[in-house]
Amino acid sequence: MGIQDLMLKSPYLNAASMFGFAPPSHWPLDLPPGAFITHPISLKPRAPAENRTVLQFAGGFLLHTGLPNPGLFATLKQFARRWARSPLPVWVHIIPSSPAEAAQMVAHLENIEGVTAIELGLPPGLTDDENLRMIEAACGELPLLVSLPVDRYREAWVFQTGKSPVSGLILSAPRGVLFRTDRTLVEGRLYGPALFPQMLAAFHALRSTGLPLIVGCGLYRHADVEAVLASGALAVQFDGALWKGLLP
Amino acid sequence: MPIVNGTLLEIRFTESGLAGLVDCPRAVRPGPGQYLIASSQREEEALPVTLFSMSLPDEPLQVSPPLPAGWYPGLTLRLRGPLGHGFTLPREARRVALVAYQSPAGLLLSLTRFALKQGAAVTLCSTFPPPPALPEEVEVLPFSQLKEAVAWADYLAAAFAREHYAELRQLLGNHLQERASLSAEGLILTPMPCAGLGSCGVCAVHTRAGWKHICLDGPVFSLRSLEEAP
Repeated sequence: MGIQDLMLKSPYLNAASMFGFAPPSHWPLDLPPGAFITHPISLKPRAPAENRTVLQFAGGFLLHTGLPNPGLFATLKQFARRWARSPLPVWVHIIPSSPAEAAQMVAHLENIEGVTAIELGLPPGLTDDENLRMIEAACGELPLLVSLPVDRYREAWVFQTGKSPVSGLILSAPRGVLFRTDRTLVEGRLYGPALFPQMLAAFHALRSTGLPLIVGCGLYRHADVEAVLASGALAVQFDGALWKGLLP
Repeated sequence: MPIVNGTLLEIRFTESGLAGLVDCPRAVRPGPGQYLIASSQREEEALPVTLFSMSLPDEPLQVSPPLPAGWYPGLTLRLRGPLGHGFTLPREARRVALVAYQSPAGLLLSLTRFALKQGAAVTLCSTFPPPPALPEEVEVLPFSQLKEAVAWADYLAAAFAREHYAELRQLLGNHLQERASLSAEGLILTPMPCAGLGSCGVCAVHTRAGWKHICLDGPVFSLRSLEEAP
């Protein structure tokens, strides 16, 4: 599997939840985009988390949003035409809550013009078997990429992913916990340049799987981007760097 | 949307934190209630910073506190703006009430100056000390006189954090409903990490028209459009 097989125009992508539901008119980095990855989409609508927040720490930030989205069908109604017109291939990031939902969403997306791949986000807290069943259910006619939070790369199911026709793993934002100012705890996804070493550990450990790897976390510097591509990453996904800009 | 480089020319310590003076092209300068985002090359800061203007368009750009503690004069900033929907001061407004609730009154300073420029009388009710740069013509009222200010005004502009809206709403009581003709807007302060790029949802606010993004649809909203707990 190479970037041609995934119809990527370049190895530089956005991470899901960084760029909304439709390709932006302006790509803010000086590296040409290779595809557009949608905001995470569930089958049914999801409201924002009640305690949604962003908390910063040195070199990163925690984002807790509840992944709000209008649900697959409302999203298609609003954005499918823009996906069809997009000069970039569109990967739809789905967040099903069950294998049946995964299969239903994938079957529907196979008929949507412009969609060239599925990116699967797995709910936290599933067992190894449940993760594998979800992945199997999401396998359809479109290439499937599985989003793997880097804090979970040692889980047993990851090394069995290759038994399904998966096109690759995306090393994505890990989860973490921080205190709010009122000392209550909040859990969310972590982003930022401080995560690069953790991502690199996962990247090197997972090369033995033989699966194509997309590095989608901790990339804020040109040098790091080129280093992971030279080390065999199929592509890279930018997260917070799209909002802040790359560091020198 | 232009992305340009600017320079932080000076910083000032205020009671609300660091404020600053930014040298930047006119194209990115925000109007009252609008914002721009600024990123430094400092590795510790993984997110851009939201900046609100305290200046008139033809003046150097004074940005309201709080700026990051690590910023220093001479720092190069990557700027994107102007962003969001700002205040819409009616041309006919002649009695303008400004309300800064648990937030720096400096956020309303550029609006203040626009209001004075069009000949309006301006009062400020703030829970924070008035900013040093507040024009002398502005009458400063204790916050306990909020209801009198609302009763007097023909335009009201408020600034408050999202989590304080319910309290402010309670303090305003029935005054907004009783003054059906009063144009009332609120600048909602909340983190806007994607600044409209990502629909990330952190700044989502519930309005009478459903969920909106403060970064895109605001940060200024009609106070009458907001639900009780935004």
